[in-house]
Amino acid sequence: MRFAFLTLLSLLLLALSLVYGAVEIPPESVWQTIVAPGEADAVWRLIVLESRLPMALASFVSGAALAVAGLLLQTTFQNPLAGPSILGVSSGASMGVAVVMLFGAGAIVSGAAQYLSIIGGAIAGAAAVMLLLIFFSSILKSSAMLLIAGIMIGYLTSSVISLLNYFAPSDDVKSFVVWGLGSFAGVGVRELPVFLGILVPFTAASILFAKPLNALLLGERYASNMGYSVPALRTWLLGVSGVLTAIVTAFCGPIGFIGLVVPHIARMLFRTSNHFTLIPATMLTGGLVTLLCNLLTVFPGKSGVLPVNAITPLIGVPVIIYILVNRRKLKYFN
Amino acid sequence: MREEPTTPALEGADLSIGYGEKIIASGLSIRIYPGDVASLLGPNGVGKSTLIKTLTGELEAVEGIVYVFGKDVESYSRKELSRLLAIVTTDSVLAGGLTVEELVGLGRQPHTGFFGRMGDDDRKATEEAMRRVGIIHKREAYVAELSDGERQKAMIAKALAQETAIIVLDEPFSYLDVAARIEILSLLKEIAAGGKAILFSSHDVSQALRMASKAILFTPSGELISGTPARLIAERRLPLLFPRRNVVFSEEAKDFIAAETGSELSSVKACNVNECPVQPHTPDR
Repeated sequence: MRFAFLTLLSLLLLALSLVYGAVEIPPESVWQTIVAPGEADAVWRLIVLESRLPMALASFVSGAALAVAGLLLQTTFQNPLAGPSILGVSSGASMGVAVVMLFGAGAIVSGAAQYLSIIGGAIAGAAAVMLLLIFFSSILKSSAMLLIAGIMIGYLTSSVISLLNYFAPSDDVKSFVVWGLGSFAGVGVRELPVFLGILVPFTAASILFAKPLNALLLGERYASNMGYSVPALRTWLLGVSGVLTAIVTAFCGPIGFIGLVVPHIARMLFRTSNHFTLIPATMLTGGLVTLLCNLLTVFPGKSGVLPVNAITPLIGVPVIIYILVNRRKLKYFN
Repeated sequence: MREEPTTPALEGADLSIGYGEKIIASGLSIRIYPGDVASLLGPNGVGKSTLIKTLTGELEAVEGIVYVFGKDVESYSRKELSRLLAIVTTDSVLAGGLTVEELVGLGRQPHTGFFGRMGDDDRKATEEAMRRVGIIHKREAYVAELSDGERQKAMIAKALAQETAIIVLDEPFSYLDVAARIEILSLLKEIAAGGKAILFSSHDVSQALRMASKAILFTPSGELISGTPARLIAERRLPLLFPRRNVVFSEEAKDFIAAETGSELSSVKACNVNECPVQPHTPDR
């Protein structure tokens, strides 16, 4: 029921994403470009099918991926306030991208080689932060302490990024800064197959972990008593969430708040912590919320497009504040 | 009292326990038989939790061997062990958003396939566990809505649903009031009567001495002394737990009391380790 409702809402938002944009195209013409692309206006066809559609798909899939990454981190670290951006995973990926964009890109020719090296940089950066987090989580038993360590890692990577910016050629800095604002426009028709080819299977694979994730809700001692090797399980879960975060970050920039907030919205909507329901619910909700954020970026109309990272906090912060204030009332928190 | 089975369900033989280089206690031997409700008593910091973790295979013994039904615990796979031994802890859990039935059903995980699909057997075992523990009326309730006592019952039901021969509880009474403690101890006795071996650690000396079939004292000197509560009291072993002048053991209250209050209870024989001569101890099996 709730799944059907969310799917319907996602389709509606998808339709709206095709209709609204910087260029005004009447809805009936949008419809025509979809059902009969041959007869439609060539420019409009280009805008609708090769710009708006990939962007909407990219935002939906990015949202699903980031939200699932956040859910995996929250359960793995037994910490409801964990998320790829707050634990520094996104900034780790950014740091990897910064190294490639500011110092590597000049040497590498543009095209496929360039964006593959950006993906590689993002994955390496995210992996480095994940390793640090695994290390800290073995010494810091308190989840609040781990969060603080994650925030510190985030600051550290930001400082490395600033240093890289300082010494980099100014043209590269500008493109890096624009990338850092977050946008789903970077995923065009050309990039879409690689983007979806990696994200869709990895996001879907998270459902394979539903059973052990449920065991992890009881903590590490119970999980290992139920037959799991907790260190191995944790490495898998962090690996999957690291890849999801790195890929989205490489293409769209470090997108904040989605990974932190969406699992909570999903838990509230579906009133459960059971991962067999929660994982698909988080995917769908993540896609929906991010599609909405993406739609809001075209709000100024002709005058331009807002950065995604200007929108996500507007949705994310009120939800987090609501959760913090009401944490005694929210069942899944205790 | 009861016939002694030949093989202990859980046995620690000449264990040295600790973390890596740091040895907390050594030369520890312990045996828990099917039907036992054994309580591990000892002051804070003596290593009760470390011993429990070593016996459950969560922590490797620095020296010595832990046997589960006569076989080295290390020789079992995780999966095999999860079907023989269940733990109950008071670790805080994030399971508030599960229903009681879902939580208890987690105990079936070692028995179900990759996707954890519950068959008829699994559902029956889950329901039976909730019924025995007396939590079945709350099956639809969220874990977050339970009282501390109910939550502990649900965790015990989860252990029952796991259908293991051994249940080890690490400080199961930490957050419970006396009534809930007594209720859970009675429940553990009932479960043990069905042939399971139960070991729990506790700070509640008096309830443990009244209700457990066996007490294991972990003294600050790093020794384990085990026997029936009655015998350990008669042999005046209890004062060894707290060798202090101002803390005495009252045999009537079956509890430790402050030394000055001992004289107020006329008929009470209350003494600490220095004043009462220790009686010779017959080693337990």
